[in-house]
Amino acid sequence: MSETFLRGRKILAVEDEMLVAMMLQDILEDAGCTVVSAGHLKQALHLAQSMDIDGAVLDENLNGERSYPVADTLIARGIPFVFATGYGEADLGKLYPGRRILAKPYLETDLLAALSAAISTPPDVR
Amino acid sequence: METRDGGRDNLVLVLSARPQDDRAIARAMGNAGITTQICCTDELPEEIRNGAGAIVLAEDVLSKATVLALATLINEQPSWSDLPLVILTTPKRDVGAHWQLIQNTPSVRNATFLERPMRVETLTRAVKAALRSRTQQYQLCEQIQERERLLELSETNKRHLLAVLDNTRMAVFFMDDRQRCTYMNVAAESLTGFRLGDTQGRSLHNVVHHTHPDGRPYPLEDCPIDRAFPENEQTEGEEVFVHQDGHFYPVAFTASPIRQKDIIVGTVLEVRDITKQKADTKRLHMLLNELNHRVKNTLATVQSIVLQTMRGEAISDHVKNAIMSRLMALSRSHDLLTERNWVSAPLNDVVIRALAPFGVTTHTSGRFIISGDRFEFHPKAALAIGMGLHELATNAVKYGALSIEDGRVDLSWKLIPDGILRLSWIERGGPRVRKPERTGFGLRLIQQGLAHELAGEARMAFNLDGIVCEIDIPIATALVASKYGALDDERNVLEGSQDSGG
Repeated sequence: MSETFLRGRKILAVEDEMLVAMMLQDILEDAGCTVVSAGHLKQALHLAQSMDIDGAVLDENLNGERSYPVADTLIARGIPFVFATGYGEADLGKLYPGRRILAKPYLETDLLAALSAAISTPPDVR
Repeated sequence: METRDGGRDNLVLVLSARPQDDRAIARAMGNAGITTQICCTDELPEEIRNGAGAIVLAEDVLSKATVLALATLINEQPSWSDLPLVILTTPKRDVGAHWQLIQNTPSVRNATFLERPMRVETLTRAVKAALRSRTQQYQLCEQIQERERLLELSETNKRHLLAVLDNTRMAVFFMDDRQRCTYMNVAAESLTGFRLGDTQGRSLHNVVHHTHPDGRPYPLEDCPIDRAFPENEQTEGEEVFVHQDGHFYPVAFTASPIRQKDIIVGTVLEVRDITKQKADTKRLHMLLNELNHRVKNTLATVQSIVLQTMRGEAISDHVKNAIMSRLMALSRSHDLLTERNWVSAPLNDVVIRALAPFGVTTHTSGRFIISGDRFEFHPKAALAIGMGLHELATNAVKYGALSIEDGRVDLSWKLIPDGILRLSWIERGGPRVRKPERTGFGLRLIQQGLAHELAGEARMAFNLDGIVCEIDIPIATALVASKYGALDDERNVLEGSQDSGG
């Protein structure tokens, strides 16, 4: 499903590790997405508030800061997203119950499946 | 204190100026069952010090010097002792001076005067009365000695108790049957900021534990500390106290009922401030979390480097997938160990985590039948086993039992002699097995890497009807020692699944 489902979608990719961000961009672009990248909290927050986007991939830790304000902004705007985290999933799962969480490192197929699922889930059950 | 010995408690010393008097007295006493000893004036001090029940003396032996010596001896006695004297007087003789002297010597109080001549019974009655009073003195002495011994014991106990209470860093409180504080040691005062006087007239709970950190009142009825009293049971736990200055601080407590002859009369409460301990634990947890985060990000970075490097190159998907799945296998083992704070991981979980991409979520899920008791593995051993299983499963999917529909894998482990845990991977129902022509990464990892890491042995048998791999793991190197005790009783629930599910 993800192969075609994500084509043409505009995705905010928030990731502070340069090389991981590059990989994330490759994966999303290979799936036909338009990618907007952010590596810092302020930048990501600004984009999340102002940009017209279909979805987001959000790293939990951005240079030592938690990306929760970005998550809250996305939720407030009804924009679907998935978390990526190098921490355990348990704590994040408690803060954002029901939200899809990818443990880093993740496989391309897992990321695309999670993002597709997030975007295709109606906001009220997301 | 003077000790009494040699049965002299009832010994009567007889002293007169005339031997025939002595003998007459001694005989009369002997007839009445009273033991006597005749002595002269010079021997008197020694005899008295050795112990005596009474002295019978004839007035004719009394000189001024004798009276004074007697008074000195009587004065030397311990406070409980008042040696009775029976003095035989002779009215005809002019001994007024001595008589007067005795009367005027205050220490010679316990003296009975019998005027001669007298009936023998009169004398024996007087001596017996004297001995009776002496016996009472001895009994009194025993009671005093016992009381003094108890007092000293109690003083020693009190000294020890105070040495402990005054010096321990543990805050100690005594509470009465209404949970009011009746004692608090120095540590308790400095912990709470209160002195005993400040706590009077209300329960200790209402002094130091009245409010939850979020501001809600904390009623006494809800307090686990105060349950020790009504439930008559030692209670332990952690709570948050309120300091005299209003700040909250976490404590660990033990509350024990104080029993007096099976009746609970109060509670003794030990409390320790665990602010630092909490902070340390939190910090440790945070550090471990950060470390894991770094490791996971590094793995993701490595993954990215590999993908970027391969990108656009003529590299088969087969190679790409092999690299990615190996990285992910390593990462999953890390996840498991992270969840368990890098202390240890149960083999069962290591197995399930390693085989998750191959459809394993429980012991009989997918095409695996997994069975074995619970063993806690060291982190390094767990990582090695995880990687090894990943390679075995990958190989089975490509060439072995999992490459066709009906193939299955039995994975089991058990203790064999010499402290070896044997892990057996048995493939069944797959295609005919061909021995590989070269030793690839997977085979090498299992046969050499795993054996090396676990200080054990790994054998691969390419049997025609299925690959069999046996990995012998010395438990001394691979297992976490503290869990040995649990080997036999912590049976896996899946034990039965081999029978029912197989």
